[in-house]
Amino acid sequence: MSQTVKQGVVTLFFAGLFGLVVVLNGGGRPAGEPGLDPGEALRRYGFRLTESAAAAGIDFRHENPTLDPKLGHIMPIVAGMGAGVSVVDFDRDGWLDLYVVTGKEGGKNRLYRNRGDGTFEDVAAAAGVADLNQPGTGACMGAVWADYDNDGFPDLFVYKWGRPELFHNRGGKRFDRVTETAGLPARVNANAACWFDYDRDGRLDLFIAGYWRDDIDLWDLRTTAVMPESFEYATNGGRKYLLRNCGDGTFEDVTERVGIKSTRWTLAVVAADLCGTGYPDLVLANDYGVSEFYANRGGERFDEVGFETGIGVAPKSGMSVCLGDVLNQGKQSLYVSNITEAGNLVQGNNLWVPAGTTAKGLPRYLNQAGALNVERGGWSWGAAFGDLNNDGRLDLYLANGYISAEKGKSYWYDYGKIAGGLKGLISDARYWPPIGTQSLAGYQAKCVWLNKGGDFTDVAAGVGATDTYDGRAVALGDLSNRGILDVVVANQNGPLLLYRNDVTPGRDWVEFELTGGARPGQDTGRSNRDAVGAEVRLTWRQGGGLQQQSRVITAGDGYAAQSTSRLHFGLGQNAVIDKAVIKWPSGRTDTIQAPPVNALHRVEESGP
Amino acid sequence: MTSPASPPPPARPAADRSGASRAGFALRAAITAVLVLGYYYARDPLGELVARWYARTVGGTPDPAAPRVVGVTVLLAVLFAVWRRVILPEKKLYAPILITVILALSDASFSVLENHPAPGWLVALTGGAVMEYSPTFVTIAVTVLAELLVGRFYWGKWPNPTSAYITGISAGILIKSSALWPFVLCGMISITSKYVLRVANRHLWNPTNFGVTAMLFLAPEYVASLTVQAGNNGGALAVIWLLGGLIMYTLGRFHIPLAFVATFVPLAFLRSSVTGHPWQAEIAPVTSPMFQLYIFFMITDPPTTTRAKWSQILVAVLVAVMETVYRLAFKDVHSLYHALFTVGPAANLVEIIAGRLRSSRAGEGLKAGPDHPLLKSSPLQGTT
Repeated sequence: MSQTVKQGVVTLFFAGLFGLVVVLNGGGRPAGEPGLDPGEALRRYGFRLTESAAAAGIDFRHENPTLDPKLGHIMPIVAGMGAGVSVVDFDRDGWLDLYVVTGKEGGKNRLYRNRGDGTFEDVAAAAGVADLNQPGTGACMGAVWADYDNDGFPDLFVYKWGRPELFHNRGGKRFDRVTETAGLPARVNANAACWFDYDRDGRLDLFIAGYWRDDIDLWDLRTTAVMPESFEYATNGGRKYLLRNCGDGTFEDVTERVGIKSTRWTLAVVAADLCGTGYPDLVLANDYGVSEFYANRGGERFDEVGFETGIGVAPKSGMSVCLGDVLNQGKQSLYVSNITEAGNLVQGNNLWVPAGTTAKGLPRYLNQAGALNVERGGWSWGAAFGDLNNDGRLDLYLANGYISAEKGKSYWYDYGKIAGGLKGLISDARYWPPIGTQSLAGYQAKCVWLNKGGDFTDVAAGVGATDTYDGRAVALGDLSNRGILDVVVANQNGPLLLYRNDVTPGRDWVEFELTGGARPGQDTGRSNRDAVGAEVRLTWRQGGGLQQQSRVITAGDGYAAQSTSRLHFGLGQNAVIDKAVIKWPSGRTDTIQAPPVNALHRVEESGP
Repeated sequence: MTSPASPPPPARPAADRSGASRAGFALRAAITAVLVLGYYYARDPLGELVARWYARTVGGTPDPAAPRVVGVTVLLAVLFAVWRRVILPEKKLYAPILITVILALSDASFSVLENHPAPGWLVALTGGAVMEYSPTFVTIAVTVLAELLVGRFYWGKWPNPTSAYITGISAGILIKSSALWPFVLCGMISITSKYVLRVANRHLWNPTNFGVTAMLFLAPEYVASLTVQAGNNGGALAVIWLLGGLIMYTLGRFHIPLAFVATFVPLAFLRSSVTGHPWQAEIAPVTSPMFQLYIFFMITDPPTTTRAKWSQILVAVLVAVMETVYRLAFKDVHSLYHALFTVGPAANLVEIIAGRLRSSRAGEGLKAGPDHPLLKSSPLQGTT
């Protein structure tokens, strides 16, 4: 063969490689089919989302705080978080309500009471939980609800960049501010919190995750060296608080005693028994670093085992963490959202699927986000699993977008300059390039990933999730008691969106509302009254096959969000439930044989 | 593009050139295998021992990366002691060894390798023993294999795989993707470009620069470049500069990164005055890990740099100037790659044309290509 022929062969091969790259890149994030009419969306995907906040009487709009002028040149970057929303039945009338926070100084939070007719009324001011952004007290970032005194009504904890607030619910009518008497820390610059019963004493404890250091007053900076010391390895963030519920209305700081020492920049936390010990573990999604997995050792201490479990190896920009049995295996996977911006930063979101155990008996996870096609979601924030089309598989709603300012102008290049700088540079706000009117990962299309069994496909545009606001918190709940999960999205500097969900008729469902056995003064050996940490494992027959799915009650997950504590299961058509096995936080197990479909089952923990 | 007229010099094992015996080479290889396997077997238990000792004596929990860094450093030092008689006389091995050391320490410090989950068929095939794999190692294997196969086909002889090894490591570190195909295709495009994009028997583009640039341009949905993953840590930077500078100085090429940095820094002040941004922000990229790989392994690559020292310095300066042009004109995130992508081949072309003119004036043709005496004498021949 002559050298010319060889040259030709190699050149052809070379060109083929280029062609292959182009073809493979073309298989990037599918955009879905925009403009589907509702009927077609229902036929094709089994559900349709309709933004109906205004029709429901909701006119809330989140506003950013204005921090110290020393941060003025990068204000949208540092102040661009904290649009949180919770779904909770605060008055126990059987209809799910909404609580939503804003961050602007003097701005009012809203408590939207569900009237039961498809509309909501704001009762925050009357209930005493609206005015929580008073100048000098900090900015609200999110809220988590749980019945910490087991009196039957969920209480409210609001975490802030500033003074956290705790409110005791008085019969669903009004709230008493108990911040000082409860013994909460004076200031935590937190972006995440959750309730969980870490020591299984029947009383819910509180975990608060700091983002900025506690000693930083963001409205009165002593120094501009307050930024993360590294883009992916920062440990100069806020400390964490594990506040043990003493049972008398007070909380005890046991963080150091139980071994939680993280000072990473935490943006999200979720608690669940992932190690199978019966005690709830903690997973922290950290911005500027690796995620952390705190394994609960018998309610006595926590060990950070993120590296061993696999979720704490590669540092990314953790924004959110949520749980879901995505493969219907009876095991909880963890979805951690990160950043993907084509050509700039391709971290990819992580879907940590259980893959056996380590030699020490810890759960081992593998990231299957790429294989299951839930990896590329833009600058991702809150995410939530739920069966949106009641087909028996958990779907995934993801909010995204950071700063939508002037279109066509991007801060990415400027961001890249400082992101790689040494600690002394990146950690000092003075050296950050001004953002001006530029956007940063703005106007992003949302992701609604439909679980097809083998993998997921993005159907956001097709089903009607077409907004491009800077999404933050995502919370799910059956707001109309129809057996269908609606979607609530809190947007940064944007409106609260209520996506009413309609599902193809004929698809079955079942919901469980659990009540633990603990009562005031009678909590030993029983589960906390809200049953936070309880798991329902459902087995049902549909289409000739036996299926199972497991769901866990959490009180705070995703990003600045809390979805309904009612456990919702889609079942598909003509489903027959075999059984529901309830594993209570107390360790007790109850089994309900053949509960009827298309019903909400209220279950109380059997006696001690 | 032209067809090469002559094959590259035949490759010979480094050990042969050093004069080491086959038995000595085999013994060293065996010791190496034992040491590496022993390290990976013992590193976790040793890490726990260190952590317990730290907790007892100092209190608290040590940085989990610290025992790994210490372990890898000791391992590398012992391996160096084992192989020093083979390595020291063979300057051509300096660059691959340097980048291997950087890779090992980077992974120990910052988990730069970022394993991917193994595909289902591999998990099933191995009964669950293999749950993850390293895309960087796959890239190294692919580039070396591509070099051997394409080189054998093209030249009719087995090429030296040293340069492909460095290309593999460079591509494996510089490409950031959660998919495997960008790593594989970047490595293959990098290698193949050396055989296709040729003039006067010289390949014009630095292979890794070409491959990474092509991937960033053609596959932005899946590919980004290494930007920040070194902990923003001055210590890591100092180690790379110390090792890199020492080796580049030994090889007589330190003037290239020096010229580039010496140009980049004043240009950072110029950019600051143009953009109004703090000069610290403009100078910050000089401390990023990608920048270090760039100045020590890309712009110093002998086959794709000009031959005379003065022209190498000039080209380094021009690359830095072009980099600033891209930054200011286009806010180009990948300005480093693009600057070398455009200036490097142009400089090579100018040199080739000038050489031909000189040769024609002198009445004799310039014998270029892999047998060119200047190229043969270069200790870094065929790096990245």
